[in-house]
Amino acid sequence: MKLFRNVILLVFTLLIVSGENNFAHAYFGGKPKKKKTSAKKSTPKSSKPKTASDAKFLNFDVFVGPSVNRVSGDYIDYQEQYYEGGDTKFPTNGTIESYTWFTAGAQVRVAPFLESGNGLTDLSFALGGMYLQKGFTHDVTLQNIGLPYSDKTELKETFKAQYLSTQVLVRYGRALYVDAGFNLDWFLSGIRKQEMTRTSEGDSTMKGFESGFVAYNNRSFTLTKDVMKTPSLGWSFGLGYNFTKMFGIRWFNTVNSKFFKDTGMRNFQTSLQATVTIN
Amino acid sequence: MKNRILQVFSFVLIAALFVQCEKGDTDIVSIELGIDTKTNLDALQKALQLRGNFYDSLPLPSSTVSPPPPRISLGQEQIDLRSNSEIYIPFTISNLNPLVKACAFNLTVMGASGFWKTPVYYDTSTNTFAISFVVPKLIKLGEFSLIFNADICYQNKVYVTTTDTVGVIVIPTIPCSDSIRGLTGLTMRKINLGDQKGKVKVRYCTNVEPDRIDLRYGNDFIFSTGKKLQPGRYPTCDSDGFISTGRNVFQDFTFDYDPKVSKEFVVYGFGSCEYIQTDWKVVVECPK
Repeated sequence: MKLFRNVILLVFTLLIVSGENNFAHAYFGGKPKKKKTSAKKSTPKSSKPKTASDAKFLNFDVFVGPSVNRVSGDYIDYQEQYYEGGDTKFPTNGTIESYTWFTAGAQVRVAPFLESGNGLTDLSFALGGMYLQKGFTHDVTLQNIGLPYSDKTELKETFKAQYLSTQVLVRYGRALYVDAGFNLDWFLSGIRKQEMTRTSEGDSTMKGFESGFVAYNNRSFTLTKDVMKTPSLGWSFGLGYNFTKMFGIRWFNTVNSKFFKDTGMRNFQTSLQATVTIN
Repeated sequence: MKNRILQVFSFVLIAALFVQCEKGDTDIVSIELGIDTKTNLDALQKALQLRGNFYDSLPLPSSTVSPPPPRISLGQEQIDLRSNSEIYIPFTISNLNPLVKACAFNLTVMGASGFWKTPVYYDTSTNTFAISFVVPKLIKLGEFSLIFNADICYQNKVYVTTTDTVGVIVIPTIPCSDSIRGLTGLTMRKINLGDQKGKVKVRYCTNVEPDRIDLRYGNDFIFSTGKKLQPGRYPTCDSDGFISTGRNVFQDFTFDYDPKVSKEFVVYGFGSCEYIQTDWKVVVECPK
């Protein structure tokens, strides 16, 4: 059912993207748009934003790019200490790894002081939304070295949660700019995956016992609002550069103090985004 | 151009939202990392540290119907332990012909699939069988139950005893100065004495019904209310050293603790096998 839903969604989206919207109109009514056939000469739309006149009062920015989510705080410290070293017979090695995904969003940006002619000319205010994923991976390996054969237990846990982040930002600059503000992240859905592998290999040296086995266990848990903090307040800051008045790049970061509801765990998310400004 | 950009962007966003809306097998109960004793019994079972073989997706062998199977029993209904501590389960098999032997112990976590087959240790001096295993740190605090029976080998045939159950409670790490309590049967508790070198006073009270207390530091037993045990041995119902200190009367023992020598300090309390109302208490003070 989920696959079917995704296939339908994909087909519709591709049709819209490709401009072949007759199919969609046949379903939803209305006249299909005719393709423009005018031989209007295309003019270069992008140029370097050298003057204030390139900016408009109302601007629409979209952005997309890879992101890395790093976690820290009491919750993580405890887990790292818990698995540190381990027992002499059961050396344990546990690591917490960052979660890599991508982020995408859009914002409406207002530049109210364009005509002021002073230092405020390059100041603008943005209100936007961004889709992002936060999470981490926890890897633990435990070895039972008290046995005459090799025995290893590996547990990999992945937490990943999807958010819609709403943001209010202040931006200063034109080609090169900085922006900062705060964000409220709304939890949408999430999952915790546990994958365990137990490997026992070599001669078990026990008469009557088979030697060696591999046992797997994969299980997943739905993250719910009972355990996840939502909305989660955080701070945003970024640094960007517009190559042209339309295209640019932005290094954007958010810091949130809560992931789970009842534990101290901070998320630092950094992303490198391609930006497009439409005005 | 602008419309195309917006369309592509919308596609990426919507596709990501739908593709990533994954649902788990069940809702999360605990956010603590590791294996939960309620919601992931299969992983718990596979993570138990014991010598032997694991048979995935096979049920625990059934008790032999004919001839009537020997009866297996533990003498205790519940075991408390800390993560990374060894569980030691002494058990008896009644109606056992002296010519036959218990050749394997079958064990499964109640509610999990598969089972473990592990060797049986036999103490000839006390005529007691035992198995031991460790609940690793991967398993979080909580409770679960074990179902078990034993294979009896006789003339190249294998018979399976009756089945019994024992509850296991994984408890938090015990810091020094906390008190330990126990009832009938064997309770083993590893105490965290920290990094400070010094003298450690251990106070114990067995009340009226007689119990046995043993202390192990490193590999050696350093104190016992009875005859000191050899390394690797465990007290049993037949051991000596079951004493009565009197109600709420404490006796004490002091030893030198050096974390560079060993940090492993374990209290063994064996509650009377005859008096099920028995209880005992041990307090381990921090090094001074």
